[in-house]
Amino acid sequence: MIIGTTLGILLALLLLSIPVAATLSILGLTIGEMFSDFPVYRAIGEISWAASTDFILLAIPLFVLLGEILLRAGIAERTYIALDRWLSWLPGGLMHANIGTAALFAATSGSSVATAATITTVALPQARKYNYAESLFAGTIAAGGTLGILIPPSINLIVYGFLTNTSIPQLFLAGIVPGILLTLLFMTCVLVICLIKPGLSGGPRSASWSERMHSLKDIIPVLIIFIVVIGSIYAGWATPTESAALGVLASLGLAKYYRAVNLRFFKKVMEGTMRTTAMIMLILISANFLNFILDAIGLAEALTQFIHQLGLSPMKTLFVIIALYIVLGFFVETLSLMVITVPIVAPVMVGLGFDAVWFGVLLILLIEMALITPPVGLNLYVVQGVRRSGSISEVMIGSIPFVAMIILMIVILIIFPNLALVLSQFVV
Amino acid sequence: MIDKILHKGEFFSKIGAWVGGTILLATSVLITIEVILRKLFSISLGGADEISGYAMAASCSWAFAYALFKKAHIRVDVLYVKFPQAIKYFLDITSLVLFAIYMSVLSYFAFHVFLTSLNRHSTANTPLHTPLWIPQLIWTSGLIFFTLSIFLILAGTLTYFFRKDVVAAQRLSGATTLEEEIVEGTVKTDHENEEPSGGLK
Repeated sequence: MIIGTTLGILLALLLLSIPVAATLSILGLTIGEMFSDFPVYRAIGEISWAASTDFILLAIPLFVLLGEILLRAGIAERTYIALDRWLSWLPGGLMHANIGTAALFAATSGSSVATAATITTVALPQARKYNYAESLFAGTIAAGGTLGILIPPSINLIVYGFLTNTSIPQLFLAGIVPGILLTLLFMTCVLVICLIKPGLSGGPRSASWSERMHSLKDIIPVLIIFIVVIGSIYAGWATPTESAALGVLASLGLAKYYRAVNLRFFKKVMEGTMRTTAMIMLILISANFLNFILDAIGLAEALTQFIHQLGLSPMKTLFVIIALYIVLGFFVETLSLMVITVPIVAPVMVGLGFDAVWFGVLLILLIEMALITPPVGLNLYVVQGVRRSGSISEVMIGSIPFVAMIILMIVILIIFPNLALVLSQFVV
Repeated sequence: MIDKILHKGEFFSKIGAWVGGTILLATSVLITIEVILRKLFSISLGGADEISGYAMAASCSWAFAYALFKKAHIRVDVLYVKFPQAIKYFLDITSLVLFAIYMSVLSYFAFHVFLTSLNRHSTANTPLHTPLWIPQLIWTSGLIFFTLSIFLILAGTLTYFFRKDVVAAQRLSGATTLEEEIVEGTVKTDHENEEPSGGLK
């Protein structure tokens, strides 16, 4: 009864395109009234205040700010040009630079939209100039853009940690090895495809070692920021929020070094940051209130009981959950998908004996897949939107090999859970 | 008339975003100083995390309206895009009404939280003993500004609806089109700045 009503209202409001933040809290207010004997809605003020001032959540605005500073200082273009020197001799040429830049860059940026859009803007003219098959080329950008939510710092991992009370430092470190591995899988995939069908790639490109060494000055700064942020967490010097603050100042220093800082730059950075931050935070504040209501009416217990009655083995349940996310991922935008499902699904999975950190990484892989599967794969549309020619189906087709790679990575992670846990055991 | 008020509202919300962003940047400086002092000199300022928490609450609550004017609050538009214009209007208006209900309830109880702190002289349970009503007042007033903005945009949408001005209504409150999303997301850097070394060959 509770489960049915909750899901019914939730789906109805979402499908009617009611803003996600409003959907979650209206749902909370409604089912609180229906299923609780207490006026639970009266707590909305206190609970929202607690979430609004939560020091852990402050990491989100700060990482968004960090990404905005780097993007608007033109660091993505520089990284792209530098990685072109290092990677484009491989069969597949510039497509490796697409993936590499997306991985490096999305690693620091809060928005996969901004990253994918920026890289498309820089890379696409080159693809046309050198006669790349645009389908696969666009696919590498769309797929590359998803890497940022797996490679730390990742806002999606913070959201998962917040919703499930899982250690964010552990989640961040757990994302590193699978993140690098998936990047390599993407590149290998391009390499193999282009060895089989050389026509998909542009002509060979080479750069001299002196050019490469010279270009290092545009790669090293981004790496330094990554090391400041992740290193300070790993060494136990800073919490994720503190490391984000260090990263913000480091990136501002870098922007200053590239002489990008002026009043207009600041205005644009602030507008972009607050636009994204306000959107994410309002959803989290609503989700937090909804969680409180769900707790109060005992939905999680009802659901756990329901799963037990099904009598599935943990592995079978895992596969059902994976299938569920793949299907939902076709239709629901990813942040909304996370805040709606995680508070319900994660406790069930942990109850079945799965590690919360490991499941977080697995979930992120599923979310990455959702970003590049039609009909609602945001990254596909962003790349297509910047392309402004050809058909969206070309981008979708070009992304298929990378969807396969993500599935492969999910299988690998299920067989070797330690890939995620090997680094996370070093922090608390 | 309504256009003028909408324009003013949007501009005001933008100032909110600038100030909010600047506060976040200041917060980063504060936290960085705290981390460095703690690590190198084993001194703690004490309270950096507490103050940053208030700063986040203030800057976010004042930025919600800006995100609304920019149509950044996510809506799932799988079905929306397939509906005829009349139904889109209906859904846009329903969205704003539900948003208004939520925010009116939240603002009311947020104000209550502030009032309770004020009457009881509540202070934070921390070394700073911050009188809680101060940050709560800033936070609550941001929420109220957001609520008023929702009503303003609702009024604007209804006005355009009765004027049969589809374009203006869509621009004001229709679910974000991809075009708009990309314009907001894409970053154009000024190339008056130093050119990246070499450029692509």
